Amino acid sequence: MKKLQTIFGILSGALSLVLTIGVKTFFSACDHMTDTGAYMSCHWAEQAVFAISLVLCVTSVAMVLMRDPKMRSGLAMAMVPQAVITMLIPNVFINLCMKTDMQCHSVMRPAVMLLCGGIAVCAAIAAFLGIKAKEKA
Amino acid sequence: MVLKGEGIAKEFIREGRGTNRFPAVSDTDIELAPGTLTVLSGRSGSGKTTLLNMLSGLLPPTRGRVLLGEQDLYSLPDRELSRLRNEKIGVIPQGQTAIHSLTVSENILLPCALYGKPDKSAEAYAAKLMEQLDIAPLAGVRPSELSGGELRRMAIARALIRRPEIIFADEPTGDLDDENTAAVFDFLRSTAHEGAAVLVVTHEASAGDYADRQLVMKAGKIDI
Amino acid sequence: MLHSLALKNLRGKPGRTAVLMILTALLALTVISGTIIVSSLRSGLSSLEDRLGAEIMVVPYEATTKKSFENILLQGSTGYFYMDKSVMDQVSETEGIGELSAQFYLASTSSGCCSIPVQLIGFDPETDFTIQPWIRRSFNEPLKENDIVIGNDLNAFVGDTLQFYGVDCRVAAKLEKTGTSFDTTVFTGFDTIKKMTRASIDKGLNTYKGVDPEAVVSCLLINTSDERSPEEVVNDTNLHNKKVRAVRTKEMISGVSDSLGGVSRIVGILMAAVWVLGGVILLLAFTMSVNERKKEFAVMRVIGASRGLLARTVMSEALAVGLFGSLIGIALGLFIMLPFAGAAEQLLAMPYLLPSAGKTAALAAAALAVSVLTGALTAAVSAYRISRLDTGVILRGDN
Repeated sequence: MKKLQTIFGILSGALSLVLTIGVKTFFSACDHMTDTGAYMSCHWAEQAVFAISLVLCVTSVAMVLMRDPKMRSGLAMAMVPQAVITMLIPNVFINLCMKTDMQCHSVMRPAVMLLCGGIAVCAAIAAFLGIKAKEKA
Repeated sequence: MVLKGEGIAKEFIREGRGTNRFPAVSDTDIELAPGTLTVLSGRSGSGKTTLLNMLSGLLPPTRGRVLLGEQDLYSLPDRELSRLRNEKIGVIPQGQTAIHSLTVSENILLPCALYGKPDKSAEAYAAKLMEQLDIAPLAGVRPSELSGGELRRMAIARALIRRPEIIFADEPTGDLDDENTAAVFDFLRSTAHEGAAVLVVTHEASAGDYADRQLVMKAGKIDI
Repeated sequence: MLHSLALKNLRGKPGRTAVLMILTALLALTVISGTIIVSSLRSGLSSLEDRLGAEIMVVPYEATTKKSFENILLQGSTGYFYMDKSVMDQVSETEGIGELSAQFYLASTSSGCCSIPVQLIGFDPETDFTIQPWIRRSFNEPLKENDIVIGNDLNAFVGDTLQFYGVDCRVAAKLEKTGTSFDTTVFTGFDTIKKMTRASIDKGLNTYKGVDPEAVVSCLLINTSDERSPEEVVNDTNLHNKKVRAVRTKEMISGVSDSLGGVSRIVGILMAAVWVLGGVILLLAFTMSVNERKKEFAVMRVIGASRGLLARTVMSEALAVGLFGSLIGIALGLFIMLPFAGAAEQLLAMPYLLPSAGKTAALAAAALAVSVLTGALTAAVSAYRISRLDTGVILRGDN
């Protein structure tokens, strides 16, 4: 049980890492405008996602390093709403670009949503496993 | 029920230059009666295993018939013959014959599981057989962790689980030490006492002590 | 029990089972992704044909030489061009014209935060026969002044106010997705777009400085009457009007349909290659997995399993692996293809319209069937061979 919890912890940590790196590279928001050089609002969504994803990384590392299954569950539980909120940042909390065929809509948003969905599910499973382990003991 | 081989013969086709047929077993008559333990010995290559396979319904003879009671085994279609073998005939084959993905007790109960689900009485009988064969503590273990003797005893329990009327054992003590050998023969002997017809193919000299009848095979023929 | 034997056999060799599952997953993934791509391109093209809606388009001559016209309609770039309104009267005299309507183009600027240049198309509500039927599917009222209708890919909602050159416009409706450049276009009536154009000229933001919005149009859309073919009308128009150029929409999108054919072929070849390769590897894998256990199958024969039963055991293993692997592959495929449809559209630079939910489900079911069937067929070879097994020979083999 504990091993399984660790696996899901590592999994959510890995996804968080992919999110952190990816949102700045593979699936970043749109470039700044070529003529004026100004950033569009999707850039700020990217920054916000990047910031929370760092928190997700740290939380998941802490969770994996922690011994006590209760503590682990607590940290994992905290990750679930974090991931859900990150999912909502692009276009719900922070508007993306005008045209939905632009990179922030067509690449960044789905990638962020899928990864955050994955993190939320893994973290939820890890939290659940910890609670069950506690009941057994 | 009596198992009878009437003039059964098997010819194999050897590969090589031209086709040459070579007789593994020449026309042979044999009868296995309930309650008797028959020992069949002979040099390797004399056709013992071929005869056993023909009698147990696994190898259609080139000529002749195998009768279980009144029933000609090889006139049955494969499905019915398989079913009949499953119910009436127990075979302890040569070598290691475990299904590796199943535990010891699952291996033993497999014959009951082929055409239905093992019931409580089958499970109880399996437990009893394992007790008698001294492998009860291994019930939940996988075959890969068992020794040769333990595997052989598992194969015996598997052959007996359906309480067959005819039992065939092909070199059941081939790779066992003396202690295990004696245990196996004791067990087969007691099974014959309970009413089964038992045919044991073996090299073992001590087998004679347990036999009601001893047959020797030489170059495909039974030499009485 | 037999099923559980098959499952136990699978669990007993997790590595081998994983490889088989990954293979079938890959197979299913390729099939579902490939079919979604091809089907999206097809519906994209037919939706483009629908949306162009006219047989012939007449535009200023310079718009065709600079390709700006085609780029606006096919590539989603923005731009505008004008010709004298009198062209419309001349063209309308051409024989064989059934329907004729003018359109007015404008592009918004990227001034201010978050507004990327957007293509604006104004239509004449009196004569329009291409845009209004489409608008009516989402909004069945006449457009009021300053009302706009936006394409599906624009990040605004009905009731929002958008500003173009200082003109506040209300989003009256959002159109359904077409998978074409029209998804990022804003449509409005002649009055509103002329107001915007006037504002753009006043602000000095229009490249056509001296143009009078009332005296010009951007393009003419024509459907021929039954008497003459579009070919003849195009030739006639081009002959009589030197400053404009008539093009058949069919020719315009022939480039698109050509590249669509090319992409479909590549996807098809790729799918076939993966299918053949996957099939061969599966065949080998099943054969190896069964050969390795020849003796176990012989033992099952000995304890009374019929030939059919052995074959069924092998088939249950293959079906379990195939079903599970395919489901994983299809889930993965849908998770990639559906959210990233926009990225695919960008990458292919072609009209790309995802199939409806029902059709997607049908495609997924078909992909499932194909990959499970492939697994089953390759396993059937092993199942047949195992059922012909010569028990006697195998059992004596190891002594």
